[in-house]
Amino acid sequence: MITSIFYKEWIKTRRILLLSLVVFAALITYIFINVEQMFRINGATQVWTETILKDISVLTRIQWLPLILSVLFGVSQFVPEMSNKRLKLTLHLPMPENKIMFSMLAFGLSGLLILYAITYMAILGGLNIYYPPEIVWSMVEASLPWFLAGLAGYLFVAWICIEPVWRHRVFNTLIAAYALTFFMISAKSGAYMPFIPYLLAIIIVAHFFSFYSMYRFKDGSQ
Amino acid sequence: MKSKKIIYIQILLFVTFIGMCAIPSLCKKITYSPDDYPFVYYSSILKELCYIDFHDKETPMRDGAGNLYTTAQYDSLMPLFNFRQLMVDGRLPDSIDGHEITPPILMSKSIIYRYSPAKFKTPDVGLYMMYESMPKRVGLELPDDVFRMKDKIEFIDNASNTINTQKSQTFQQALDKAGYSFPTQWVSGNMNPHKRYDEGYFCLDDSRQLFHVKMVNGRPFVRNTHIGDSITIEGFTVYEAADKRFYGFLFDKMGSAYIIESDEGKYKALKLDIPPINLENDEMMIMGNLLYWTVSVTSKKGKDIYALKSGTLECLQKIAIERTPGKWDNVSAWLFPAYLTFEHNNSDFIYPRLTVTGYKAFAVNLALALLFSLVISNPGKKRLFNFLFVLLTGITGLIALLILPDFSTKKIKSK
Repeated sequence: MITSIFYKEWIKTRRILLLSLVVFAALITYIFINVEQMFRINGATQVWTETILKDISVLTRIQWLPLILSVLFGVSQFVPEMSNKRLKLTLHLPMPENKIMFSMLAFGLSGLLILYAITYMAILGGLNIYYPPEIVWSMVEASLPWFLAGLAGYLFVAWICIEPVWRHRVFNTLIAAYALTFFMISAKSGAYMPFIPYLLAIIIVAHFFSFYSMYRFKDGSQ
Repeated sequence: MKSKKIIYIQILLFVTFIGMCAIPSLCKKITYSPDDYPFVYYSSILKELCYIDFHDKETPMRDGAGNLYTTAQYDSLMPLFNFRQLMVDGRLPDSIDGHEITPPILMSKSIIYRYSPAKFKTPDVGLYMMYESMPKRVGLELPDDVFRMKDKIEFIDNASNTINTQKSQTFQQALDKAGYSFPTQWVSGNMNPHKRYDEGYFCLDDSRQLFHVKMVNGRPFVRNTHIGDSITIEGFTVYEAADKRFYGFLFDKMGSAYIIESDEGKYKALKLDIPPINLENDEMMIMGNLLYWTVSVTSKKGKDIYALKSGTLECLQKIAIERTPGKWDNVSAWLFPAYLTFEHNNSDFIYPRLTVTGYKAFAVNLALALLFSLVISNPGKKRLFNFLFVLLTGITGLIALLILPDFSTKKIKSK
């Protein structure tokens, strides 16, 4: 049954997943063209000096991308469920409703994690050619909250979409929007590290929010 | 149904948690204004700390007795602070207290240093640039490599992104010979290529000894300052003073401030004659000239200003200005028993900090809780829960309760 649910989710989201992959690939390619140009024109000494002294990261262009794509991904997965109340049919599948919801979210989170893992591998592989590990790691540290924002954003979208009452959808959106600002505070590279466990805690807690919306949907809240 | 209640509580706590950050931050934006302390500087003529109000164009200066001075008098009474103006007016004295006064001397003795706790609480990439301390040409040249020295010293060539083995070994041997023990606790240096000259780095080794490491004529220069023998070192900031009198400012574990001077090839710590500062919260500003240093320490209680003799750093005078609570202090004390912040003045790191304002806000919370329980009709248990929740969390909890869908309302069918 879980395989069938995964297949159903794949059908809904495959286009947006492919689009995400293409957009990430295009942006990473652009970043490396840019890095190559910087090293060619300014020289390695100048680039490294500016990176160390001014805390310049080549990954800043990627900042909003994980969040935007995960929101699109969440919308593509959960809006079809809510149109004509198709979620009712999904929840009537011969499986406990909690397990159904868990499978749907697990599919989404796995998809995003695979996408992020591919992106990080490409970034790490490329940056290691140009920069020493300390600089690469500081860039990764700076970008980590943006990718976590992607996971949180996806879970918030699921919570908002499944909520049956429009008024509460608006409140949920405001709450989610403010919570997402925690992931986007402008800070020096590495400054976010003490906050990462708290961001992970937010993601774990947010994972349960959709279940609440699902209970309300099942209870027939209007 | 039980899991629905548990998740409801989770969401309620989450919304309250973000409300504890969002609502106080909004109130702070509306009510906060920074503490306003007068500018204080030691007059080398009056021999006392004087107040300067830059907004007052007629009588900007006031002495301790309350006498006001005109702009022209202010310039003359603070010649070491206003020497550029006096020079233009042709009124710069030849000497003060037997010390020769010329613009180059005054400029070389001028010191401005600001300590804020964020100086030591900031992320460190772990890579540094070793300049040539005795360059053959005027000005410093950017080195072709960077170095790391956490567990051993390694120079990494910029162009090839590979380790320069020979240079790394030369420096490693020099460090070993000087008795440096890894891992390094921290490295302090000024990497700004536009500085006047280079004094390299001061590094605290594993045995808490402070070492001076620099490159002279392409060779390593490593010295144990032995400052760690007598002082428990907490932090150090390299300050390449124009007159090369000292290497920088050092703080011990208790918060006492020192300068490290060069004393015939040895290093000597000279203590600033001021009480220890709280390195976690206090800010310190030093404005020094040929004869006197004016040191301001801003804490949560107020601002203490000290006048020190520049040679011996002994205290000549001290004044204290108490802090007046602002609007935000009053508003937060009454509205929020506690609030959350993620960005802090005393650290560059992002992390949640809960500020507890005191008990006053519980009076407002009690009123809100009573009002809420009377106005909103809920079943008995729910009413008690709401009352206690609002009593504890106040406005943020109340808003969370109001905007969240209520699981116990009659419209929802219980399963």
